Amino acid sequence: MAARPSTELRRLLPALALACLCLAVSAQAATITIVNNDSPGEGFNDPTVVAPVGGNPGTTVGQQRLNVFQQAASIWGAILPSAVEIRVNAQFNPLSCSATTGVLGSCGATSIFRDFPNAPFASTWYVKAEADKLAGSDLNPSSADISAQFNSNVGTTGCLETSSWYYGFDHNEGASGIDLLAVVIHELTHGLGFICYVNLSTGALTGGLPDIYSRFLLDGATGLHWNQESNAQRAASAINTYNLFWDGDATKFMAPLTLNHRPVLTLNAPVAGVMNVGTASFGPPLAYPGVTGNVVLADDGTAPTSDACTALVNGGAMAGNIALVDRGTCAFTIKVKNAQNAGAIACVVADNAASSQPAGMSGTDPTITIPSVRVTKADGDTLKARIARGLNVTLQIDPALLAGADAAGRVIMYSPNPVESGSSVSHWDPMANPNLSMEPFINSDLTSSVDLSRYLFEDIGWLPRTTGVTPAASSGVAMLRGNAPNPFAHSTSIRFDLPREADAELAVFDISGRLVRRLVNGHLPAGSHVTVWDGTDEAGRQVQSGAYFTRLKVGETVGSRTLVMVH
Amino acid sequence: MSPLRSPVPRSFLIGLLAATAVGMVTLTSDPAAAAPRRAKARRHAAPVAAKTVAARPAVAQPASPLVLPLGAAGMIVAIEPETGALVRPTPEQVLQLLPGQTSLLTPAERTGLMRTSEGLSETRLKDGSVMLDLQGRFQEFEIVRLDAQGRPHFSSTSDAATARRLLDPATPAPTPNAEEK
Repeated sequence: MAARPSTELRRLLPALALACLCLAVSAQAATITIVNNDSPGEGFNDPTVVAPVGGNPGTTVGQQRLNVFQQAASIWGAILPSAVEIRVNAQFNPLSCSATTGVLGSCGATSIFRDFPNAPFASTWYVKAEADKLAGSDLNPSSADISAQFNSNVGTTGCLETSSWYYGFDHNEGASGIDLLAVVIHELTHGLGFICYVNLSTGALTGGLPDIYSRFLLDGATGLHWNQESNAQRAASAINTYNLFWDGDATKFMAPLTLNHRPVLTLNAPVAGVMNVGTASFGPPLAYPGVTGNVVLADDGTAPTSDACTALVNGGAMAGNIALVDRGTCAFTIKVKNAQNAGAIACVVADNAASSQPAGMSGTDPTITIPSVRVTKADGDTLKARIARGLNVTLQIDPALLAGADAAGRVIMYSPNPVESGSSVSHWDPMANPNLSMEPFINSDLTSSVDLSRYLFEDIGWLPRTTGVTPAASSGVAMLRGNAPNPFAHSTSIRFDLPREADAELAVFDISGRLVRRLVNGHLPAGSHVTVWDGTDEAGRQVQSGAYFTRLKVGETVGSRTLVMVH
Repeated sequence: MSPLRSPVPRSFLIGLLAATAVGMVTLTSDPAAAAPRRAKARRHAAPVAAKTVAARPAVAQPASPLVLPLGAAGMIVAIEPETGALVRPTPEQVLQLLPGQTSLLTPAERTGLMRTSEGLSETRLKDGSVMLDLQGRFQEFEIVRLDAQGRPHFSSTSDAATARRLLDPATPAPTPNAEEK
């Protein structure tokens, strides 16, 4: 949010804007109709009697299935404004399946349109539902907007028989259940426009023309959007991991309010660099400021000596330093515990198989007290190569980076190498934390939230602009970018940009306008700034749970944002 | 080798053999895998329903089967059963050529996994709008695989090769996103 002229009401604008948005959207809420294309006695009409589950009141399998689809439709229908009914042709059918793997379902737009009345961009493809909305009429009434089919055999003999669909609305599917609502929301989101129609292997555009989604894809290597690039450039960009971004203002605006800060391994002088890391489910989480130390390769005296599966024999060198160990042979918790026992202050586990992104580490050991992270094999090799010359690193949460966005706050798109056509580009990168509904791998912790997808849809024109980010460098005004995490329990990082050096004041106020804590008050250089509020007032007392406002005042301009503290 | 064999090196053969009059097709560029398929084709192919025409690719192509250059000169052609004329194969026919496709995916799924607009026709409406009916293509698929503990692992894809790999029971079981060792 760009800072603007101050008024007392300005502090309340975010909340008022949100309230207005809700009213506006509800007044134009889209009707999404699930068209049951199943025959009597099967699919959505399966008469098998079941008990209501997880908020789904249906008493037959078929009715529960239909209720789940309608629940997903109502979620998007409440968000997307459209005067034109959106029809989803839906079926439950036997799809490809075996005991351990199977197609759960598929979904997509039935057709795409360009150069329709009121089209924001000429010669640009839009999915039918959005084209209808923008045109204000059904451009092809003889066809549904979206088609979807899901696997009716899940949980039956020969088809994922140890698992089953979960039809509740509460995402309480258990360890082996498959949350139909999460899957339908994900697939419906694709059908509504979260999709790229570029041939990712060749870079070719559909019919030689871009789609609206591609216009917002920014190639970090060239600085061009995909509609400005050649086929070869697009194909290269599709596999340029971590270097393909969503360049939409609404999504960029909301990213700091959605994503947590990124855990990283920072290489300190004389070398420099930042490595992405996977985090551990055991031991203390990374913090800011983090743990800094020299890196020492673990040696447990038993080949392979660097896997730290037995007690380390180089404890003298390890004490007070950061252990580098290789993955393999034993559990992560054993490796980290052995490093800890040898005196290490932190542990870095280097993968033993190539991957483009570092995975996390699971396991449980409450006696582990040092932080640990996992890096890719390539990064592990880099660390090993530098140890001999002396290597000092810091493991920390980077307050200037978001988990799933670049340094400019643009959300990273999934672009693995080699390309995974369909998965690539049409999803957020899995680095995002917390997990997002449109990552390529549906995660068990998802809820019914459509999180950043709503803002991506705002970017591509589905919704009127209710949010906006103007880069400070081009707008020439200070910008309060918001805080993350939000809501927060203990502390939150507040980001703001200054286009030029200036006197700046950043403070927190309560809902009645009383000053709670002054965080910044001084002359600052141009650039991005981050400050942390620990939830205490000017007297150092912990404040109560509730809504607060941050206010950035730079000269005569002021911007404000809402923070929510939850103990 | 089929009597319809083209006199080009085997390593560059791309066969398009109609097994029935409706144009069932099979493909191989792998000599080791080709023999049984050719034998099967000899047993079932209609005499003039289709034939193989093969050529050396002008440019080396990546391994992904979906990047087969549809319509590229000399690459793949089909014979129209009714007329005997050489025609460009439909994308559906090319997809059916892909190794393993027929055994792991239904025809509707194969169509849904197509990521090419080749063969689709634009329609200009009275108001000037242009519509492209996707004919069931460009669908996003959700595929689940169970690990050794029976826990589901989800993958979104619309790539036929990825789908085939994920659906192949011979593919190693998935490992959790956050592994224990």
